[in-house]
Amino acid sequence: MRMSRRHSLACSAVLALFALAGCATVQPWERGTLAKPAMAIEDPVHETTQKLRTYSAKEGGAAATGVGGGGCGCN
Amino acid sequence: MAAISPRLAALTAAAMALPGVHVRAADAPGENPWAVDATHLEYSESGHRMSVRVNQASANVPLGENIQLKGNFIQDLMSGASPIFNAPGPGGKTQQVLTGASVFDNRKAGDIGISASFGDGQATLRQGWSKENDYKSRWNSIEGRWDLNQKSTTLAAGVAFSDDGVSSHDAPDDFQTRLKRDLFVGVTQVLNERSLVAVSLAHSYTNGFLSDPYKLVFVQSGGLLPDARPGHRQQTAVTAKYITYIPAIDSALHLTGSLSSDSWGIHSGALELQWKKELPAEWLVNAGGRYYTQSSADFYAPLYLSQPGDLHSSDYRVAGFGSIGWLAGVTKQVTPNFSVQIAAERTYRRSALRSGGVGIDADNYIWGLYLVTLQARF
Repeated sequence: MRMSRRHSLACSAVLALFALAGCATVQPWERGTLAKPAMAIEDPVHETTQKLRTYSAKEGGAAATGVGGGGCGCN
Repeated sequence: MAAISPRLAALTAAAMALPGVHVRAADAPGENPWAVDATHLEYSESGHRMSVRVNQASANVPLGENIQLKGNFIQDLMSGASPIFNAPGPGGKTQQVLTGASVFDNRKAGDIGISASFGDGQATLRQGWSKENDYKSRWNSIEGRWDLNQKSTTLAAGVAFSDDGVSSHDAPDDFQTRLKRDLFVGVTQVLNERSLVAVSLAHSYTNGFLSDPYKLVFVQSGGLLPDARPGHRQQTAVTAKYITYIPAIDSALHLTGSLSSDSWGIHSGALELQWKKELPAEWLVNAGGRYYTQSSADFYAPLYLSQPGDLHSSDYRVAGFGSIGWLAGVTKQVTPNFSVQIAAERTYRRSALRSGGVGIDADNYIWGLYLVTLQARF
């Protein structure tokens, strides 16, 4: 498969973020805002499961959202 | 040193569990290791097409201080009509031909997993299955997560393998094999006191019977042919999520973008923006929109004027199209241990929103879903 230019850029961004990991440290006592429910990085797991399965059944594209989950013969 | 208020102490304790983000099953062990979730979902499509009722229940059970057992069960009740092929209609305009409203299936799926925490790392092993009249699946996955830099950074990785069988109502016992392997890596980084970013990369390789046994293609020069797709497919996807808190509106914004590309020639992009705000009395509301676009597969055509080559499909899902939709939800923390969530999403598919290739207006439709989830934590 030939990777498009935009995907090469996106992959480069992932690698750059890996490289940057560790450069910034926000101390635990500075994370009050990050701990708010509105800032939760994941939606409730059942909502996420059902929405991703709907997208997967109705769209030809993909998203990088994790691994696992059985297929279905969704029409 | 100034005294820390109980509220700040609680927020700090919660913050110490951050990010804890990438892998669904790899929730960080917290103060409430017992978890039970139950969901009912209603899905429907315009034009009297498919409707699905879903019941889902899951539980996390602690086995000692560092080990969690996870179980999940899903039942889908599907009914309605589904597109089979396209044909010339009045005035030469292409139109869909649907099954009768006779499609009915009862899918049952479940998975069980075990998570182990050690230091700043966590590993989760899961095994799952899915079964319906004409499709069965067994899968395994292993996922890992590693917190670095005082939990300012989380690295995640996972692999999965699924072994599926595909049959049809005409030959219900004649299952054909479909194998899929998934690889996932991701990193989440706290950027500052009110922003964080997560970037993930996924790759999958699928081989075996990848056609749809219920889909046909119309050939103008004579007859119908079964859907025929390549026997293998590679997909690569990148997803980035940026979350920031904006004090001026006392709200959080969640921006998620994805790009994907596959060996069938389908290139897709998705962008979702959500606004989330906490209200007094433990309410959380969210609202947003999602835009999606894809190009058509190399072998797709709405219909064929002459005999096509070995690969051909008129399936609306490998056509070029786009969609735009809205989503909204509300969560009420009823007690410290119990919450209720209601969410809805409605999406409008339009061929004119495609990013390339071929698509037809006859495939346009609307789908919507509504769900209620009860969550208990102990």
